[in-house]
Amino acid sequence: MADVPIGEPAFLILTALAAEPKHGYAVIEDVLDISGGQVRLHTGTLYSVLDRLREGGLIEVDREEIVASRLRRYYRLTGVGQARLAAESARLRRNADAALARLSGFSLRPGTGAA
Amino acid sequence: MTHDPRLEARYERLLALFPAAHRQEYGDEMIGVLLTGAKPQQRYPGLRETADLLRCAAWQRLGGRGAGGADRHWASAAAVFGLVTAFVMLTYRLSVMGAQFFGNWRMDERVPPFPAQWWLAVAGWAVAVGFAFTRFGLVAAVGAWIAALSEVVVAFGEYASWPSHLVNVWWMLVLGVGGALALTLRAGARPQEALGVRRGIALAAAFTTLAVVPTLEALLAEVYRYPGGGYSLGAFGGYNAPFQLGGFPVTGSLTVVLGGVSTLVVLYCLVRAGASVRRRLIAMFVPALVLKLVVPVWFNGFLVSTQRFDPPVLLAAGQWVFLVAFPLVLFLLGALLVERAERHAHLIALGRAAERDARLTPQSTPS
Repeated sequence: MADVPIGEPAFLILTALAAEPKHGYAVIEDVLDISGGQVRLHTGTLYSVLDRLREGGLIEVDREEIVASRLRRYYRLTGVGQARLAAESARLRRNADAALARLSGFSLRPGTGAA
Repeated sequence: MTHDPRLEARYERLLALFPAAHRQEYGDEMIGVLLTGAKPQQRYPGLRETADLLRCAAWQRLGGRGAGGADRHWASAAAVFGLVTAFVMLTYRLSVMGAQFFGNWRMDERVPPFPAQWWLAVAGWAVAVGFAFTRFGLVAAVGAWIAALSEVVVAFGEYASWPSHLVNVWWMLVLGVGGALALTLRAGARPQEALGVRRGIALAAAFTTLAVVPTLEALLAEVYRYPGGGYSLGAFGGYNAPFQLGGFPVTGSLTVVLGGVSTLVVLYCLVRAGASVRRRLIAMFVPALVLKLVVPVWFNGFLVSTQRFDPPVLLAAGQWVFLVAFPLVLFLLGALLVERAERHAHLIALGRAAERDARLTPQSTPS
């Protein structure tokens, strides 16, 4: 898993779980909140990504409970997941900083700024 | 919150499209999340939710990232099937070319020119075999498609004048296209993961031997020249096998012994793969093998009579439907049987585990 890039859904799910263990629907709501309403995870995607993250050891089951006769699992970040999220955040920040730096130079050049 | 029971049933039908392993692990949770996110009195799954479930189910069925354990078995089996198919096709082409080249050279010191398509097929299958072991899956798949399609194009190119040939090699075309498809869909799985490195090497050595044996036979054969002109080849060691393979000029004890041992090694390597991969390999190989067995029998009348006419009689629409649909139906049936058998075995294991737990749990006794 370490050499596989994390996509946006996985990154947001890891971020949601970094605060506290959460069950599936709470992850969906938190991701919507984190992304400013831009990313609404659907159930199929959520559980495909959760499965992959579990397989890679980035998250694990914290506890299980039965709600309305249905299994509800809470997932939490592992140490590996925490390190991976930190590394991925640093990488994204570097890229974003580089983009912002270039954009600021771009707008100052004659003929390229706003009219 | 209460939900329309029909909505739950509809979600369950959508979840049934996911692989069994994924459903067992997450099905209950997913239904819970889907119902929690549903609006009051909602009766049908939303369009986007449905599209997402369909997409994820298809992706997992194909063994993509995030696929559960059961479907990784399909990916592993596809990797092995793709490799073995590429080996079979490459071995066939190399052995025919080697035997014809050296057989003709031994007889009259002339070498036949081979069609460019043969070289293209050899190159494509060689690339497929070489890269099937690596993580460069796309290269292996492209090589296999080039080779398989070149075989298909040539067989169809000769169809109008030689339709019986197309019918006779149909099983090989099915095998070749199936192998290319498997190498395309193996989702990063590599054959050595299912076979083990040593059996992977043994498999390669066995196919290499099979490819070389017809050339050895041709090189070591006794050439008999008759006083009035003409000649014939006698197999090395004096034993001529009572069968002809793939248009080789001579088959003898080398083919019987080395070819037989190599074939057994290939079968041993495949049989020693894990049971889940082995079951899937059978489902994948059965269509081509059954075609190889039944087409000469079921198309006997066509094969015998077509070449008596000028121009030859071509296949009827029903015969085409059979040739195309039969292998597809066989594979789907095989895949269904594999899934059902594994589901059945899983339920039996669950029952046994529950019985064992019940026996081991101490009975509470009233104090």
